[in-house]
Amino acid sequence: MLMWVAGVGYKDGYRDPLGENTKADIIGLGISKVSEVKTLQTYVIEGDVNRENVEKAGRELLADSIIQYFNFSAFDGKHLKNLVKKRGVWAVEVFFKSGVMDVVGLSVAKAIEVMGINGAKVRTGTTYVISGNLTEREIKNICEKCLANGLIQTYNYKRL
Amino acid sequence: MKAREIVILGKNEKELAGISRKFMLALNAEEMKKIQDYYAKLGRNPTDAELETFAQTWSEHCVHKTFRGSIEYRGQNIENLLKSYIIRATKELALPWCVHVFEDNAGIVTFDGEHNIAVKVETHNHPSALDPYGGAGTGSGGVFRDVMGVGAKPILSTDILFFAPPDYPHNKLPKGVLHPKRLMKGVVAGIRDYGNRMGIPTANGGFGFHEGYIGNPLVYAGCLGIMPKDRYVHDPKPGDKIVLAGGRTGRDGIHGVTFASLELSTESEKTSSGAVQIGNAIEEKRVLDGLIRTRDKGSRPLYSAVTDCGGGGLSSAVGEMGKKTGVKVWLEKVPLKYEGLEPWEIWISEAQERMLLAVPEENVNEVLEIFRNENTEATVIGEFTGDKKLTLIFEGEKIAEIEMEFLHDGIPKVSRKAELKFVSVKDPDILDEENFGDALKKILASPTVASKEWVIRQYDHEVQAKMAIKPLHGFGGPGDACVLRPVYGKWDGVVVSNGYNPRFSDNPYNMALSAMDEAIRNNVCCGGRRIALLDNFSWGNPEKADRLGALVEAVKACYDGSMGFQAPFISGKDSLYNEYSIGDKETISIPYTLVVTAVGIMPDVRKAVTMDLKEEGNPIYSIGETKDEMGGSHYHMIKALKGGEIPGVELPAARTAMASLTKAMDMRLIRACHDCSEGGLAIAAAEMCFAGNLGMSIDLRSVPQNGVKKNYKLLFSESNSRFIVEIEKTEKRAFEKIMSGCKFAKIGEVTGDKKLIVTGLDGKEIVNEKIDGLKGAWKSTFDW
Repeated sequence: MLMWVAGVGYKDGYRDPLGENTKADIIGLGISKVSEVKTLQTYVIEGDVNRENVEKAGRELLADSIIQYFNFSAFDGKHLKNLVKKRGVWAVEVFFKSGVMDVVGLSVAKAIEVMGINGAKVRTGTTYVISGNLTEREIKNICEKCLANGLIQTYNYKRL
Repeated sequence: MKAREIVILGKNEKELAGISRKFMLALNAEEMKKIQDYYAKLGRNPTDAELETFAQTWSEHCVHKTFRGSIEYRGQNIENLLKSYIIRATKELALPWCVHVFEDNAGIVTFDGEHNIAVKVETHNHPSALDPYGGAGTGSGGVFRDVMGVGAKPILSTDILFFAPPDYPHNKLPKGVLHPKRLMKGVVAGIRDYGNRMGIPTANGGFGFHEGYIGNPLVYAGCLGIMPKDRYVHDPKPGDKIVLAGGRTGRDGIHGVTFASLELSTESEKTSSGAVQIGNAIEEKRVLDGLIRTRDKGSRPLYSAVTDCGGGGLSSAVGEMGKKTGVKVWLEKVPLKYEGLEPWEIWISEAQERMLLAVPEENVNEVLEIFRNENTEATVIGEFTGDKKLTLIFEGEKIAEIEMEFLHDGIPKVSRKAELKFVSVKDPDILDEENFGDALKKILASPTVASKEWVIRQYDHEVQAKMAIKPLHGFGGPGDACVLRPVYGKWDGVVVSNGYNPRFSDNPYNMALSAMDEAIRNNVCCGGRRIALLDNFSWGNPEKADRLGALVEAVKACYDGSMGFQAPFISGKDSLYNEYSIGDKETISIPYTLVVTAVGIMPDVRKAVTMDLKEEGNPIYSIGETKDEMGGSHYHMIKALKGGEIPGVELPAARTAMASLTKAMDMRLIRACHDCSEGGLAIAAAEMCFAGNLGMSIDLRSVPQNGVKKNYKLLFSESNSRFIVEIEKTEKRAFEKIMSGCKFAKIGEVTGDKKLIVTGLDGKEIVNEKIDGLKGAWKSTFDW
């Protein structure tokens, strides 16, 4: 069974409201050296779906090609490097825990099926790209206080 | 997977309590004993599904044990607080426009002769404390379904939220608690997404901030719906089928109800993940559309009864609907999200977006077809019998059989002791300041008073195009109520407002009366009359005598206020056990919080009045008496002072003043009207100024008052039943004639210089502030 991960972010020059909001929240925690937060809507696509179809779903369904870009990769633990092109930043991904209803995931799966791509299961999450010279401890603190609610979500971070 | 027998016969009290804990039933020893006796007579042990049914049906959340129990208080024995006070007032008033009160999912009153209005307000506190987004969203979803559960179409969402101050220091935050700012953002987003996606305007609400909410934020979600008056049915007959429509069932929110009846602790975060639910607004919209079509298709609704699946899931909804007849349910027919649910889990799952209909057999196919066309599932899962029993079948095997009578009436009555603990501290009576500009700005910027534009702009209050008076008045001033015009082509309006003041909890009787007065006067401010009320109590642990004593006092005030204002209660709800324990010793109780929602009507929305000043040179009047009542005031809060009288209400005078004001509005004498609440007269005046982008000059020497000798008290006392009004300058005489039976006086006039100027008792100027500066302070707090 193949697993893909797709990320949709805003192109340069377009505002990223969730990112801006998150940045304000991080500064509100007292961590003021954060310089920028960008976000990617993240979709893990599981099932019998080939590369072409993932790309098609991303282009035609997930991203608004005028203001957004779309990256994808195999979901293999090293995917954050492929999804996020920037270096010298922290990337944090937040997903719902299994068993928590993922309404958007269900709708996306349905829409992919309508496109004629069968057998895909989708889970949604958010990837945060955080710039500024932050320590691992600070990132952990940010994850717990701003980005993920440990009750229903899990997070995973990586320095790129 | 079939039913499991749970051995309770022959167990002693301690073992029974252990069983209750092990299965998270939240049943106490006495209740377990009663169940044991019941099964001893039957000569068998209960199944897991049966025990779970008792746990749900007998939970505090569903039966309101405290309100229906007996209470010993100051030598008096009170049987059933609800019936003895709140419902009693409604019965004694016996107003013909109350159609269905305190009996179904929502209270129903008449509206324009052709339609009725249904209203409900609910709390969703515990889930929102854990997952603010999902908790608040499903809170909205749940209260919309309550209104749908009487067959009405939701047309307004109202949300009143209480948090600790948003600037609460991170390092003081108790373990396992989310920061209030994060809670607030999450809750607002949850309400926004659910309401906006379903296309229901959120145009009314409120916020309260107090340190006491640090472990228990409060989320009140309310909904108002409208329906043709002849489309209400609630009469399931034996032979009718039970149709479950809407979302699929999963493990969502298992034990949510029993969880709500427990105190939160630092462990809650780990043990309660099952209690968290995530909503799907689009699914609920489909169910709503299907429901309205089944309601309106024939000459009468295609269903004989409808209700929602809320707390307790199917167990509560089916149990309640089949109370009089008896029901049989085939649990394997319930559509599931995923495999592997045990039958009892299907039975008590609180999966969202599900409605339950009782459908006569001849209509079943048509009903199923309608829901199919709306792209949502509907399934026959059982039938009404006639044997007065609740029977559950799973794959051919009977897994539960309980007599309805025992299930609904078998619950042992709680009897509790209550005591009164009044904390009365003398008024500090400090020296007057020379200038009150800073105090004014500080109060304007305090979170309860400060502008909520950041929130209001996220909620869609325009959808459905029924809003006549919106939340922000003039140049963005805070409106007192919202006015809807629900029927296109007619001018009849509904006016919705609310009142609460947890800072008054030192005197719960006056706190409750003040909440009622505020809700009603807010309603009157915009033109509402014939007001119906809803009560929603959020309280600490009622097993503690002082908490319960406070509750009794508040409930007594509800009776007195309801009679005094001639405003009946039509629905209500309570959320108790809002205490948060840290470790073993300390518990934090929330301040006693009663939210009163007022629903008024008005014959012509074109006569509705807003609070922004309209025209230079118009006279300003103050209605109602200002008293030395500084207890719980915002001025004391910013000065860190304690003590003082908590404001009371003089009922006959308040009612007369409000009735006169309504009359003056109908004659179009009043250009602007605003009530004095948090922050008193000074804040009300400031808000009217910047809302109208005009100035005001007032003289405290003219303010109607009773023994007040300090400027700060006249400015900031939060005495009830007071209004500031702007009168059309040519109509002074007519206005004064109408108000002749009330305490009122001209205190100043509207000016064009965009300044608020106040002259003090000694004739000196004590406030001289530009309105832009005041507005800036007011808007700065939630500039998120």
